[in-house]
Amino acid sequence: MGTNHLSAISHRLIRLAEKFRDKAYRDSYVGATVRRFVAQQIRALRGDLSQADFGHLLEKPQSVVSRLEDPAYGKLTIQTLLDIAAKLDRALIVQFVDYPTFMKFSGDFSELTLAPVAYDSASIDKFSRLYAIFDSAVASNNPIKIDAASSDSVIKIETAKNYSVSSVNGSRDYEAPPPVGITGSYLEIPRYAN
Amino acid sequence: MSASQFRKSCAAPISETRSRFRASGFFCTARPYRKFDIDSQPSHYKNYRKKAMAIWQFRCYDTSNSGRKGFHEWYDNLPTAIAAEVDRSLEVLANTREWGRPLYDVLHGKCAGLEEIRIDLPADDEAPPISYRILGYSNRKKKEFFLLSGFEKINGDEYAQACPAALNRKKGVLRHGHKSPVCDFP
Repeated sequence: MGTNHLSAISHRLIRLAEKFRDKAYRDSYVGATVRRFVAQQIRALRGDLSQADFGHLLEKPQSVVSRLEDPAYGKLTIQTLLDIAAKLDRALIVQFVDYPTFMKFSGDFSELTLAPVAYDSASIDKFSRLYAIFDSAVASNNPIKIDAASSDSVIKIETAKNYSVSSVNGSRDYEAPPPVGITGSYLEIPRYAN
Repeated sequence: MSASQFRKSCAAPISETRSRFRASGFFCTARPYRKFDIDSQPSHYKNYRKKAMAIWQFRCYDTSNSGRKGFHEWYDNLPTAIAAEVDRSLEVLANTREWGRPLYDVLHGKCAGLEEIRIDLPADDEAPPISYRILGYSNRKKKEFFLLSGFEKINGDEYAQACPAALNRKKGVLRHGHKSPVCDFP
């Protein structure tokens, strides 16, 4: 199979799949990914604040922030992560996943993934309303309207079944590139303007 | 299209339809090269593209251009578990706009002119921490990093041997055009 036409993501997945045949490699890669990703997220969430100021926000000394940003630390407890999530008003997911899910997740370095937004009741309300709209649209087989131009970020909606790209293309409100946000059973819908 | 080819295509006798286009300046007006600015794109598109594109590109010192010599000689002989750590570190850096500690540092003194990628593994209860270093240099304008050589850092004395060798390789690339093709990790 020729691979010249493939995207960088596909090339990465093909190389990773080959390397993952070795158990020592995949064990180490998973460990390296988790440690580095948490460190990256802490650094991204800190933003322009100094480690001392960020530590003040977390009610922890600067040395702890420095350790949290160090990918070589590797001794974070789930309770520490939960404490940080609570202080920053972000949610936390710790879950075992299959390798295809892991490979997809580990290649996502987007800003929204690294520094997710804090709890916002308005966006949660929109999310639940959109879910209901999406649910009824799927049930009645109607195309869903997506207002891509008004978005500042996206809302991710999980569907019970795989959402087909063609049905999204069918709704004329979606701007190019059409397949954006279609990831298996997820549909990322840009936020509606009020 | 080169400048001379461009001029030729404008001067060549062509069909009437094309002449009309030419008269309108469609073919012959020099248009400035517009750089694709991802930051001006809508956020959903930007996020999709950022998932697909790495910011930095790595080039591996390899005079043979075979993917087996130079930097690859060191990388290919790493234990599998360490290679995975190296792969992930490089992948994270490739997708990080501004590099800094703890993953990267600029070297000084006898190693001046070189930069290092720092790969530190957590200390075990029974074993001391393990550290690896990759020496290289960057072209910030092109967002390229040249991987020259790597070594296991035990007490820091390794730099005395590694830096002159890496500087020699850098000189080979810059002055003598030694090959350093694009390489991907993982």
